[in-house]
Amino acid sequence: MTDQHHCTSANQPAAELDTVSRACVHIDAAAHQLETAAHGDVFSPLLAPAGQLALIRGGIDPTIRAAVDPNDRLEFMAHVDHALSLLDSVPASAGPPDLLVWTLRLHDMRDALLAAWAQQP
Amino acid sequence: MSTTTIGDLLDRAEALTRSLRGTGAETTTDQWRSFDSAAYRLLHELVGPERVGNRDQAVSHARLGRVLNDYPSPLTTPNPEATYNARQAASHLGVSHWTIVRDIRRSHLPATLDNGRYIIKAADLPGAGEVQPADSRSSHPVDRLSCTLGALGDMVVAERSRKTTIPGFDPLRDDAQVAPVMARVFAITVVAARHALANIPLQDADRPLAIAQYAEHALDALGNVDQGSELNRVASFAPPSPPRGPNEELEAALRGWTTRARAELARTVPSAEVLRDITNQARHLYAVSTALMTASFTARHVSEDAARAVHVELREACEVMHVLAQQWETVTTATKPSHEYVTATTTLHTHLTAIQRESLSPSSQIESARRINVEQALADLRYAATDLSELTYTAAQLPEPLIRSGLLFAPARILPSTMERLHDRNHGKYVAIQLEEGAEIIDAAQQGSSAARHAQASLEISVQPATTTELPTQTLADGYALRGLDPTTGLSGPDLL
Repeated sequence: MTDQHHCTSANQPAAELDTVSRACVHIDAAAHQLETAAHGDVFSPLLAPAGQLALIRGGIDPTIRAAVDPNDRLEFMAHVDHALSLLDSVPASAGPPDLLVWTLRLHDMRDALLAAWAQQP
Repeated sequence: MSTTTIGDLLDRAEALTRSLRGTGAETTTDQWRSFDSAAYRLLHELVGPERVGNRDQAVSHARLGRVLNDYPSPLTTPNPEATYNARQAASHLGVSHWTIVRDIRRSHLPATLDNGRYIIKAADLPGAGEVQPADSRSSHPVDRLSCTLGALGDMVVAERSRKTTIPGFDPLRDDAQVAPVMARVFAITVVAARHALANIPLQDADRPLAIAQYAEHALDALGNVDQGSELNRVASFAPPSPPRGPNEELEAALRGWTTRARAELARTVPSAEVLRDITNQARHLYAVSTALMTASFTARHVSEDAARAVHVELREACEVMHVLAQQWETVTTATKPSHEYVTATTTLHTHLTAIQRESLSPSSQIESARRINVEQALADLRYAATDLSELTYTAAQLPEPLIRSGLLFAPARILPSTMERLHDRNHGKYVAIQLEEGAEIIDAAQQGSSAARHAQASLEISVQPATTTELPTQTLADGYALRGLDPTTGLSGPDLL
C-alpha cells in the first residue's frame, strides 16, 4: 500500500503514479475542496457530497489518499472532470474489474452536482 | 409510513379481542386450535431461553419460565429448532417430570446432558401435532386475532435474533419489560378462550376451558405488571415497493441503507470508507432532522423549546460525527466498500438532499405531490436515529480489535517515527498502527456512539407532549420562524448546492 503524500497533489501528479491512482488523487482533492468550502459548518450541504466522493475513491482503491495541497487552484468540478477523463482512459485490462461501475458512479455524482449548481439562484 | 411496532400489534389484538364480545360467531375447533398454538408460540418466544450466569437474572427469569411451563399440553412445538429441558417437555406432553426422565433413561426419548440438565429437541417429542395456521384472508375475528398473534411472534423472533446492539435497549432480556407484554397476551387469551367456550362444538370445549383457567392463573402469577414496556417500541418495517412520493422514497431509502450498513459492519474486515460514510450519513440525517423540526415548529406542531433543543443537540452530534469522520479518513483497512452499500448510501443521500432542496422549499412552484409530510418524515428519521445509535455502537467496537489484529493501517508519515518505519516513511508506505497510536480513533468512535444516543434521545423527547405554554401567535405571524435555528443560515462556504 502506498501513501500518496509526497509530490502527489492533484495538480502535480507524480510521474510514477498510474492512471487510476492519479484519478483517485483528483477525486480526493475534489472531496477536500468541498470540505474546505464548508468552512467547518457541520450542517453544510457540501459535506455530504464530499463524503460520497471519498466513498467512490475508496471503492476504486481504498489505499490512495491525496495530500491536501494549499496551492491547489483547480475547482472541485475540474478535479472531478480530470478524474473522469483519467478513468475513461484506463485500458479495459488495466484497472480493477469493477472500474467501469465506479466510473459510472462518479459520472452520476458529477451530473447531480451540476444539476444542484444549476438550481442555485 | 409502513412501520409497525409490537405496541401497535398488541393494540390491534386487543381491539380484535374486544370485538369478540359483541359477536356470537361460531368458532370451529380448527380456528380455536390455531389461536391456541399462536398464543403459546408468542408466549414461548417472549420468555425465550433459560438464563445462566447472573443468579438474580436467572431467578427472575425462572419465574416467567414457570408460568410458561404451566401452559397445558401445548398443541405444537413453537419451532422445530426449539429445545426443552425435562420439565418443559413434561409440561408439553402433559406428563410428570419423572416420566420424561424415565423415558430418557430407557432411551425412549433422545436427549443430551448439558451441565447436569437434559436437553430435548422439540422435534423429538412424541405426538407433536400439526396445527394449521389461521387463514390470513379470513374475516373471522378469531382468525384475525390468531394472525395478529402470529405476526407478534415473528417480530419477537426477529428481535431476539438481532445480531447488533442498540445501547440501552434490550427489552427481551429484561423480564420487567417482557412481563407486561405477557400479561396483555394472557388477558387476550382469557377473553378469546371464553368466547370459544361459548361458540365451539361442545365436545371440544374442554381445551378452551383449560386454557382460560390457565391464563387467569398466569395473570395472577405475573403479579402487578401494569406498567408500560420498552418492548412495545420494537418496530418492523415494510417499505413500500415501489415507493411513491417523497415520504415513501425516504422510508425506503432509510431502510435500504440501514440494512446494507448492518451487512457492511458484519464483514470480517469492514471498510474504513464505509465506517467513515456511516458517520457522514449520520451527520446528514441529523441536519435534515433539524431542518424538519424547524418546519414542524413553523407549522406549530412542536414547541419552540423542543425545536431549539433538537437544533442544539443535533448540531453537537454533527460536530462529534464530523470529528469521527476525519479520524476514519486517516486510516484504512484496505477493504473496498461493497457496491450494494454504495448504491444504498447514494440513494439515501439523493433523497435527503432532495428534501433539503425541494420538499422543504417555501417556493409555491413545488408541486404538492413532491411536498413532504413533515411529521411522517420526522417519525421515519426518529427510527433512523435509533438505527444510528445501533450502527455507531457497533462501529465503536471495531477499531480496537482491528488494531490488535494488525488490520488498521495509516500512512507511516503521520505516525511516530521509529527505526522500523524509516523505510516505510521514505517510500510513502502504509503501516499497521499500534494500539496506543489508535487511542484517538478509539476515543472518537466511542464519542460518536454516545452522541448518537443523545441525538436519538433528543428526537424522542421532542415528540413527547409539550408542557410549555402555547406560543403567542404574534411571534409566528412576525415570521420569526426560528430564524436562528435555520440550518441553512450561517453557511459560510460557497453555495454550491
